[in-house]
Amino acid sequence: MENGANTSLNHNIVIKIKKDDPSIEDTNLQRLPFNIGYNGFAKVSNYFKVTEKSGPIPTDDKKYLYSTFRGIQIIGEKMKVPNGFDGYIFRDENEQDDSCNRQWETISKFNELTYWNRETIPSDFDKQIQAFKSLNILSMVNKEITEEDIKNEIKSSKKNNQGNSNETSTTTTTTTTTKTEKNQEIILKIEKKDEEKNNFKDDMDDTYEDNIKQKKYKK
Amino acid sequence: MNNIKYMIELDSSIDKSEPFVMGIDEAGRGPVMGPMVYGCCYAPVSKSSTLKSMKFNDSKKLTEQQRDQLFFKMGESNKILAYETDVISAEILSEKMLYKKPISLNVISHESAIGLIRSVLKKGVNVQELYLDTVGPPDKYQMMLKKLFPEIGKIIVSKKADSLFPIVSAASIAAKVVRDFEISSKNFDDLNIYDEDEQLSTEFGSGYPSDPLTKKWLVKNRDKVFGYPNFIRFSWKTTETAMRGTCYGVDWVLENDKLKQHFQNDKNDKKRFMFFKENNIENCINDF
Repeated sequence: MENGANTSLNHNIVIKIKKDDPSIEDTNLQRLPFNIGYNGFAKVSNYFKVTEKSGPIPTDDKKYLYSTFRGIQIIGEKMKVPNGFDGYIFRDENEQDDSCNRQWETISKFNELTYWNRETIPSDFDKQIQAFKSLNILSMVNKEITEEDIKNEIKSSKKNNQGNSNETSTTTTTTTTTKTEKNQEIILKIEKKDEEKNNFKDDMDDTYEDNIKQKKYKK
Repeated sequence: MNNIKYMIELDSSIDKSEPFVMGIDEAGRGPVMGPMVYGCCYAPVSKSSTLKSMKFNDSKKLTEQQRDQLFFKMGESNKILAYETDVISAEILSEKMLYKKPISLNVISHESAIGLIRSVLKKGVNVQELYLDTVGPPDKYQMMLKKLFPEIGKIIVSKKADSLFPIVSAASIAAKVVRDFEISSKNFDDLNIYDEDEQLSTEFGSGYPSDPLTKKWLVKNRDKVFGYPNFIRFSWKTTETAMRGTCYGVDWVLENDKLKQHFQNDKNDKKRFMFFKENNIENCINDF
């Protein structure tokens, strides 16, 4: 950012999505583990040969995609865009324009993408895969909470949580910077319970509470 | 399939438990393209004189025609000998030599030879004498093999084994003929390039980096994004030099570092919550 952080905050971005435009076609998206100093068409189908086979771990039945790029082995896995989301690829229409006005135009869409690693089998420990999977949770985090919701939950929580002191419930937060109010605390706990029912478990449990709290503080 | 094998089994009338002599040699170690082929040949020690009379010689001292004839003869003599080859494709060579922890060509060669020995022993052949051309320092290689195969009475690793021992000569012929077959049957049809002008020619000469035809081919058939089809060994200096400056630069940065760089525009140094950090979710608006 040669102009400093301040100007970047003034960016004005207009995003245009035409959801049912038939001219926006599905695209075959690959996320590769390298940068290349080129942006444009390439003879992908001629040179990029992919074979499907099992990984090196005998107990793992899953098939992975194997290929090479410039002699270097890459291993990939297909990932679906989570339910309720659509993948779009945008192009910046005013790319040459130095002003801060940006217009993103949809050029294609995708329902799945292939994620590639150099030499290692894609796993849930890969940051990009984590980010992708956490979309599910973000949808819950970003859900708007109405005043009525809060009232209802305070009511029900008073019944359920009597005797639970405020201190014990804050111990799990590690990045808290804002003061916590008693009733908010309780709401969080209820929320967590509800969402566990919705099977959002995975590896996110530790960070889960942080995340929900953060959302609340913003409000 | 990564490893294609060409082999001839011993005739069933031959007693595998009698002492055998075995030789191992390689073809195509130096070229910048195509597979490296390891070949082994084994025969009962009692048939040594017959073997000698077949007039095997170092494959480099024979013409292509002589090699083909001898190879054909080998295929018909499974009452005297049998052979087996291990074809290591250029793709596998590139991959292993370009791992983050590279595997050297010497180690790949040793592994291939060891694989062949194991495969023959597994058939129940009683190998008692083993001769190999050296890869790296001969005494070290010999020690390693003796440790791995204590059941083989005599293991000799030496330079020029292919011209010293007929059984190694036979192995070198098998390896060389198989490699030549792999190269000559190579076309680039699998690339599915239908544009006449962009077809890759098959006039790549011997494949040795010193061959002018090979050099010319490398210059003429570059793709700026992909470099070459994976028939070319990307781990060779020659390939690297041929691509440098012409093909687009590629940067294999560690993924995490790359992302860090990518998002470090956020100069406000605002503390992020663990969840976002751990899942690599960043506010990317600043990035555009």
